[in-house]
Amino acid sequence: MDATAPGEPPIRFERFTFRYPPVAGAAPVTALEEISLEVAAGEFLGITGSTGSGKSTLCLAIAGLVPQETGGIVGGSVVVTGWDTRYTPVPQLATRVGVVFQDPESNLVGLSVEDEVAFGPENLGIPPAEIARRVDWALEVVGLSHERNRLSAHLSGGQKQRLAIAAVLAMQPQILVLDEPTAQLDPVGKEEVIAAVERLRQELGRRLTIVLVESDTELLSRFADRIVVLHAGRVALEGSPRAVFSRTQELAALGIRIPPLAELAARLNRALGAELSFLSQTEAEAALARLLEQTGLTRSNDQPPRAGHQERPAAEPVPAPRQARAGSLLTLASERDDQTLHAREPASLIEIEDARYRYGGVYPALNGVSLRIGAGEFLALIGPNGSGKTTLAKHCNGLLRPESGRVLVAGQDTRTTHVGQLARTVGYAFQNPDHQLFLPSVAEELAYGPRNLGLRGPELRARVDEALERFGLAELRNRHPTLLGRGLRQLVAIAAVYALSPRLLILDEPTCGLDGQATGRLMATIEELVAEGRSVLLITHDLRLVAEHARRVVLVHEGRILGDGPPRQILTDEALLARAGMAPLTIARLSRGLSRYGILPSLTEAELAEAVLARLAAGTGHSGLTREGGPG
Amino acid sequence: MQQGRVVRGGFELTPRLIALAGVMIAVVFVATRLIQVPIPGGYVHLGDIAIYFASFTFGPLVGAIAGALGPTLADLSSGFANYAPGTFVIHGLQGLVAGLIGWRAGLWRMALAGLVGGVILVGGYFIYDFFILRVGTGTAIADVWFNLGQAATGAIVSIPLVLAVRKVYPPIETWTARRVWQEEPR
Amino acid sequence: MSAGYDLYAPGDSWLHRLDPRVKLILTAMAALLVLLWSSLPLLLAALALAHLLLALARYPRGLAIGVWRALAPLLILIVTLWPVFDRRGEPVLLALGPLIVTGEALLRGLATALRIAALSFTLLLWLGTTDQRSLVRSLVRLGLPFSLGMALTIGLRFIPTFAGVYQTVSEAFQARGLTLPPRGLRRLQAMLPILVAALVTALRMSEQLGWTLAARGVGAPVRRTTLRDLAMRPADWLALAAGLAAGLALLWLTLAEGLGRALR
Repeated sequence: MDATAPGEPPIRFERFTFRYPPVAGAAPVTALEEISLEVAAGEFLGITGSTGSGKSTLCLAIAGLVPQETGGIVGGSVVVTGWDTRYTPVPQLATRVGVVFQDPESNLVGLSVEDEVAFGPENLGIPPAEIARRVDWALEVVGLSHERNRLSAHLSGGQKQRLAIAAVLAMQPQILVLDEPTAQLDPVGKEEVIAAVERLRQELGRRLTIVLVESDTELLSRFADRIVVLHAGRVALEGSPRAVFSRTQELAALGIRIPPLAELAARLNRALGAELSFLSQTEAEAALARLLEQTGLTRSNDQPPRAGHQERPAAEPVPAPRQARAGSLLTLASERDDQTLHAREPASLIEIEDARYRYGGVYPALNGVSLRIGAGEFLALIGPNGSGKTTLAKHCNGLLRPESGRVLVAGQDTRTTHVGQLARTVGYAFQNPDHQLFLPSVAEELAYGPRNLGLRGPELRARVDEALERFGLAELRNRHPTLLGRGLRQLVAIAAVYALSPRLLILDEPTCGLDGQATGRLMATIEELVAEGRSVLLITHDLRLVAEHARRVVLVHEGRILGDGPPRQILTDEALLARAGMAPLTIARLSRGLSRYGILPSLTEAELAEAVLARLAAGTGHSGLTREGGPG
Repeated sequence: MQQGRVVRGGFELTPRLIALAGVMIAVVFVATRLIQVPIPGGYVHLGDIAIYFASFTFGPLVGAIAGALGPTLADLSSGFANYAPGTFVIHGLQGLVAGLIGWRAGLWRMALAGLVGGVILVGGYFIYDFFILRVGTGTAIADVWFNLGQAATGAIVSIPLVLAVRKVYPPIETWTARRVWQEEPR
Repeated sequence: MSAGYDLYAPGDSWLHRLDPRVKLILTAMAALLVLLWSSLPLLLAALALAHLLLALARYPRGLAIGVWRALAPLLILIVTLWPVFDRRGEPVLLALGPLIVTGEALLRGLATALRIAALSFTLLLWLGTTDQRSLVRSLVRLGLPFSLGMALTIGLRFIPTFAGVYQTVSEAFQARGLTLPPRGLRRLQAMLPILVAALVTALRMSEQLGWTLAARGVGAPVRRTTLRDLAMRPADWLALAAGLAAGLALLWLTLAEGLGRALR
């Protein structure tokens, strides 16, 4: 191999502009605009940005796949280890750059684990003995040595992504590009991949330059030396994780989801005028402990904080204090309206009684599940992959029928009612929007379901218009759904199910592929639906979302319901979560670490910030905080 | 680059085409083995629909590869290994010819391709049944009946399918075209 | 759960260990012979031999029975339809107007059915004991262009994936109120949305797969190496030589001396 010119950075973007080739007579779509960026040898660069910001295109450009495999219009240049990516053939670039994509299925080309890792070096004509050495090493790094003869089709999502990383490592690149490698994984798989990257970092240190594209900013803040935020194809923010993630308002405006610890710091800083900043939980715990100790608080926990504290008295009405049960200062969505809900004692929409189900009559998936879902409930279904979440959800609309036990949907037994009939009551939006888009315009896509149910004419038009409006898609009504970005396709798919006007809406990972802004908008829409009396069943791995929005959490593990209750009860029960192999929220863990200062378990950043502030006020009688009595 | 002899010539596909052909092999396999629909007088599988789809949208090369390998794997994996050699040739030819006639074509050329493909399918299996397997006149005729159903549904369903996909997903029209990039005018 | 798409049964028998190229060549030879034969006893012997070899290779009985079950309708069809078109021979067992069933015709039908079964089981010796990796590898070593071998590998790997996509897409459409008519062209027509969505999804995957291939160096202008190349052991050469000698001798007997060409 010819060596890289000394002083040449591994990656250099020079006013790089890229527009995708036009489709169907439309104008070329600009993906990157005047990007200038250098990545130093051994650097760990984190890249984030809203959907459509150009972050995936950036990955393709480093590997030369843009523009060589995509076509399109190019301005400026990308130089990788001295090679211009426009003119260096992709296979040659592959000796220096390895890429791992988001979709585990599209990362693998071989039949077995070993084949997969050997494939790259084989294509480069490396001698077999050397390939064998590399395969051993690469599988060792990602922890798949013991799986080397398995078929890759039999691996879990996390294993597949680790395998993809090993396959790339075996080509011994100087640069590793990871394009949202954990976006489609469950928390367990995600941790596996993170551990593999950590291991890699230890093993190779500064000999490997890593570019990690992520929308999970919490992950980025843990690893990256530097963060670049893209927006509309341009570099919008750049700097150290500490610097970038302290600019929470700018990030929010760019559609980025703020890491929870950064959000917490920002809230405290706003209230205290301080300059706190934490990237890791340990750091946050230490800093908050110092802060709480400064105020001379006793470490005893005999004086629980009281509710009703407010930074600016009488500025805005405080929700009725409810700490009597929860001990928290702020209320979660689950605690705001459950009073009315319980008062109503809703009629059951879904009644599952001791349902059992085995796939193919062999593989047990549900082992006796009983669950009732009432009208107007907002329920989150959580649990690791393979726990039975999806199987359970599919029982709610008759896609699967219990082998024993029974499922009633609005009183109809699913064993005797057709799925098409149940679709009037239960709408099910699948995780991958591409699995349901098949019409040439957004409006037609939305009309398809209601038409199946017999709607015609003005009634149908009104239904479609309302759905378009509600999900903010009115301007896209004549666009091709399949040509929209992933985030918008997701919204169209959900809107298409909503257009059926179901009484229960099941959403499988609806925020996967959505950025912070879109997630916020979608959740607001869902809250509206709940307020109007529809029920929502949210299947998600995102516990932050669950804490903020769900009113009830059902934890599933090995085909059984392990826990069922309000988010505060389930999500603060670390032992329970651990039994299902799930890690608690960062904030929940942090608040537990601070319990010796009288901080009660918190689930959201807002809640923990308020708790800390209240504790500080209790300790010093800080001027800004008034001390009225508790709720009596 | 690595040491090694430069290999030129021979049969080579671009990575894009390799991936496409591979995925279409799987699509044809699944359509043949796993998607079956009862019709009066028996059932049809969707294999021929998938082959015509590959030929009409991606041309003779991908059509021939998916046509030859997809159904052959289906035969081999289901115990009908006795038909595999015939299937390889017949469906491969069907995909090739349908692609030569109906690639990126309008309704009538696709219909013609479906007709010619049907003749290859029905005739091919009759010849294979009668002269190679020597299963007897009766069974060979029964197979003609089955393949007529395949040929007819294949042509009738694949054409609207191709038209629908073209409409829904316009990038498909230039899927197999060579990708070229241009410098932005400054 | 991909087991249903594959007749291969893992194992460590001599048949499993035999070089896949040798296995392919010898089964092709055997298949050719079986195709040429019409002799009831000879075909019966061939079928018995195939089963014996499968048993020695500890091939699971369940899978073998599955093959019989799949073949059964075809075999029954052959046996029942044969006499309708073949009225040669004695004794006449049944004469119903134009329909004359003779004992010889029945036996011929049976022999034909046996030929089909023997053919399938001969090929099962190869398919049932050769995993997909070795299969593709042997084809490439026997001259299949690498591009096609790669496409075949991707095809095999993608089968369970696409089957899953199709399944999920159908469910997604049912959940949107699609009710498929039970049969016929109307059912096929109603399936169009499912096919469209599944195909577009598959195409998106194929695009990324293509990028992955390019980024793993496919098309690099160097001679490809292989980590595990097939290598003929002495036992493989021996099996090839012995098998070919026996096969060619039988072929000569068949073509020149008429071995097995007659019914009995």
